[in-house]
Amino acid sequence: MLRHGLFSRLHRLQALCQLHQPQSSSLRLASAWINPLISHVDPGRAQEVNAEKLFTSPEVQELLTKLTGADLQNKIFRSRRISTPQNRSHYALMTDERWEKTMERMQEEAQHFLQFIPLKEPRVETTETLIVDKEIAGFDKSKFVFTDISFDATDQDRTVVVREVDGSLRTATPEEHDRMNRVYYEKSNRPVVEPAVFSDPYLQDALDRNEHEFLMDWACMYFEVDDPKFISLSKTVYDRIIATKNFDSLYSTRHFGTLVFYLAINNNLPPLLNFFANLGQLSECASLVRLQKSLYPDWRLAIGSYDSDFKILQDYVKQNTRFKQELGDVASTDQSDVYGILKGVISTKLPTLRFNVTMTLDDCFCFLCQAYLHASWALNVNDGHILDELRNFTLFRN
Amino acid sequence: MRQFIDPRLFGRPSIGLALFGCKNRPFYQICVFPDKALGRRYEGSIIEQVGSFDPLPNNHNEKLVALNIGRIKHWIGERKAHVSVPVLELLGLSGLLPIHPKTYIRARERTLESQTKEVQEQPKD
Repeated sequence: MLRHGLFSRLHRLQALCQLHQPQSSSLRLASAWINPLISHVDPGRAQEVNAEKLFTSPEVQELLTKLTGADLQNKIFRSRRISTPQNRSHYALMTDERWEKTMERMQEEAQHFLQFIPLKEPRVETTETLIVDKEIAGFDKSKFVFTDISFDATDQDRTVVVREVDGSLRTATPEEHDRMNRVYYEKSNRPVVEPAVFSDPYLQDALDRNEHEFLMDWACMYFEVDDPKFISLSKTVYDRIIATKNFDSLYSTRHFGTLVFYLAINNNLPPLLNFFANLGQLSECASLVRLQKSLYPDWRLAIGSYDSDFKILQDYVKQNTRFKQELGDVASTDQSDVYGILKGVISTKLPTLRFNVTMTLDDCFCFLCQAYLHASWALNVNDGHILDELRNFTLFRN
Repeated sequence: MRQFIDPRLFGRPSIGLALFGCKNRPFYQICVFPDKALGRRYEGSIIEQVGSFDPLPNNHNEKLVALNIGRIKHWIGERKAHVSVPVLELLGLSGLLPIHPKTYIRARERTLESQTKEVQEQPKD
């Protein structure tokens, strides 16, 4: 009776595994995450990059977590308009010790909201022809899509087959498969037809309204992570962020790690270095350089185990003289390579330091002295600007 | 004396298309009905819904069919259900059963139709 049964679930799973296996190295194309428009990697090296493996390595994950930042008040626990009501803000009078403990607990809770979206290569869009029956060609004007709605089939291993008008029976393309999942297993906010905001005129509107986080959250809920559409969409969003230098829109969200990785794997650090320099975060700048050097290890450019953050940055700027123009905020164009970053750090930190209650005035002074010493040591110049800042500060202190 | 029987267990059930939908919008559920001896099929007598069939093509020019394959196999294999011809055609197209003879006939009729249309249209041009 059963001349040709459908794939059993086991077979389907096996086929899925085979489909998702990485292709052999000789045939593999460059990673989809390498974008020739912004990439500074030489093509030979870009060919060998295995983005998935690099992204999941513990060292990279740790650096990315560090770089993501955790802005509790303005980003992670900010008030949002969501369907499930948020807890109301709660005010309490507490001792310093309890305050610290509470902040620690909130930091831990925040890590839950900052888990990275898995970074995947786009899946293979091939189908398998199961039967070709020319005798029933033209039996209908439209094709038939058959979906198995068995209770125990999951969204991934559900059998979906298509009978074409020419009489051949084939497995569904992943796009059709996902669409059938959306048709028969509806979820709230996952409409069958792709929302218009994921394609261009409306995408740009959303980005103009600074709704990057909302857009990316919805995209990763709507698409599978290895969907080519998801990958191209996130690349588009990242590219536009880089073009407008609007890193703040995704900073300290779960998407920032992927954005940092995207820039690091394309060896295009200057925009992000400038961003962190403007925030006055020297250690973040250094971590970024560490990340980039761990993705593309090179013994000639390796970081010494005792190198300070400052030294790492200094070396990076020296090694990448081609970025001199772009690294405006990190290094100014004259011979003082690291002057810019110090300027960034001091100019952003100084006003905040003055009014920061947690840092004593002595701490501020120490910090500035250190910065000054670094500068004079590194540049062999007595920079008037830094001296002026220091003088102002000491005046203020007295 | 009148005896109460369970229609789900009695006799030979049948699988067929049940027309749902509304005016100008047909939609079929693939349903299991009790034995013919228990009377005509009606909406309240449906034992189990094992799939659906949307006969109007969508904007991708697809007709969507959903089949609960495990349950259909159970009703056909273990309960020896009688399957109606339209459902047999769908099951044939899905690759679960051999293609139904009526599909071959339909295919030949349609191709003949289109060929005669072409022949009729050619002299006009």
